[in-house]
Amino acid sequence: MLINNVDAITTYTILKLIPEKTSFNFKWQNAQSVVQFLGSKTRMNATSDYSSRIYFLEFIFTTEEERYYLYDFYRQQRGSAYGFWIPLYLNDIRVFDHSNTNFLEIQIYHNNLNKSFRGYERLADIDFNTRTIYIRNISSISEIDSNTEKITLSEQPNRVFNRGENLYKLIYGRFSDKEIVINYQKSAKGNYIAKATIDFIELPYEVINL
Amino acid sequence: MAQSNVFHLISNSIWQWKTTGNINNLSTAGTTNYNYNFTPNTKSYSAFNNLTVNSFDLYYEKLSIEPREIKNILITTEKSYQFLIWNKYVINKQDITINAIENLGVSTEYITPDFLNKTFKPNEYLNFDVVIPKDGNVKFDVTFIFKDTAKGISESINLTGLRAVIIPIIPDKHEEMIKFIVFISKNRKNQEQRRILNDYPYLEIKYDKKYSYSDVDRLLNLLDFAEGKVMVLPIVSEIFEPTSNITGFNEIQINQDLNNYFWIDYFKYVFVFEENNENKYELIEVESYDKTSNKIILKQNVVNTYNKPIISVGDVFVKKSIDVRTQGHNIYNITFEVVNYVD
Repeated sequence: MLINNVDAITTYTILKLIPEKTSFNFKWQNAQSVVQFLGSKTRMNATSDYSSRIYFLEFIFTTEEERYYLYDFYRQQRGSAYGFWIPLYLNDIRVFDHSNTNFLEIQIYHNNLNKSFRGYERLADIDFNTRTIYIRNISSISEIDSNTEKITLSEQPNRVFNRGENLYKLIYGRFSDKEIVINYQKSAKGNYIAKATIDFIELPYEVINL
Repeated sequence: MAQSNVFHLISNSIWQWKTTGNINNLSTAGTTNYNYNFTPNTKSYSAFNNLTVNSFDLYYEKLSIEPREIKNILITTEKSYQFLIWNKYVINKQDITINAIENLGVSTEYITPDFLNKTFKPNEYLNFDVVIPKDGNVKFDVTFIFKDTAKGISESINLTGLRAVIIPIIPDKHEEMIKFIVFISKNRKNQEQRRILNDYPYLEIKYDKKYSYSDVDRLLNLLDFAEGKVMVLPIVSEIFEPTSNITGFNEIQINQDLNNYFWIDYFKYVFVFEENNENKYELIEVESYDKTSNKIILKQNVVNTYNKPIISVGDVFVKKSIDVRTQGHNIYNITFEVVNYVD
């Protein structure tokens, strides 16, 4: 499925193709660290603040339009040359409470999000009927108690969210591999079914300048 | 006098630009480039001595052979191209006798008719053919130089292109790998610097197909023959369905939306197949794609009649590897990998 509309206060280059939600894999690329062996002692110095997370997302193309979108997007980014925003369709942000009185603050069920927040991720609300994504900037995430956390936005959200609704996170990254591989298999009807597993790697240092 | 000097200089710099048929770098569909020479002949008496330029000096007063250059020829069978030789010395009339033909690339016996030692009177012209033979090097670059050694006049023509083998195959399963060459370097803090090395998308395809014992040798011998040559293959992920009969036409209206096709911006050919019959096919060069009305305009008409035609884009590829595995009694699975040929 392709996202048609992007509703945001600033412009975002965003991957509009929604991956398969059933399979979601990722790993951490090692944070750079230097280990010195000094006789009987060892010392480890961390030289980078963040490790880059690599996400393996699976796509199944149901229409020609989706397949062309991926090729064209890959061409616009010149492969792994340029960075862009990638929505992650996990279920880790579920709304606990949101009201009009504190419109910028959204209470969510606790998921250790305050610990993993790096300061540059964006929050998104997706309307799958109209295929619109609403992107807003996050100012902070803090812990309220053992069951809930609080996301404070720096931009007004599009609506009041109800308890139990899912919100999504956007990361900034690039295509991880040197190439993307699309598999075509002939179906029983005679047409081809196209699938791809594509890796994306985060770019934590470049998003600061955006 | 100063005024006419300036005019002469300007006209020289304008007319030394050689026209070609291909302007857009990204779109190579349907390019067969013809070069025409508009360089004024500064050795002609009236141009040099009078320092005035009239239209005769730009187009005449020289031996002309047109077109000067033909590029991007694809040779799968023997092909011939027509040229025109014309004695354009109409003001300072002189006869020209072609008494020497030099070749760089192929033997002069491929020029017909043989007009060695023929005298061209002023304004006399002649059509002649150049035939490129089917066998030879993969990449050919042929130059013929026609000389009148007595008068010190010479002109040359140039043909370049590729020799290829057509492999019409509709696979059961295939993989497309698309790649831009980007150089990435990192420092110790994991910060990156990235540079694009080539702006062209490379395509690698891996084709899988099952064959029975009786059919597999036919393909394997063809792939053997393709050793040292480039191959022309269909890209079956981009297939078109025509809306009406295509035999005898060069404009094909299709059902699909051409805006959803990626490789048509890069590939120059289409394959026309019959459904379930890969032995009946045609390879035709594309003139242009009309994306507003979803039409494919070909350089030649479709010749064969097809029951249910399948049209797919195709282009020139270089073979990477071939793998043949038996999958039981009398069934063979062939996997071959190719990468697209970019000059």
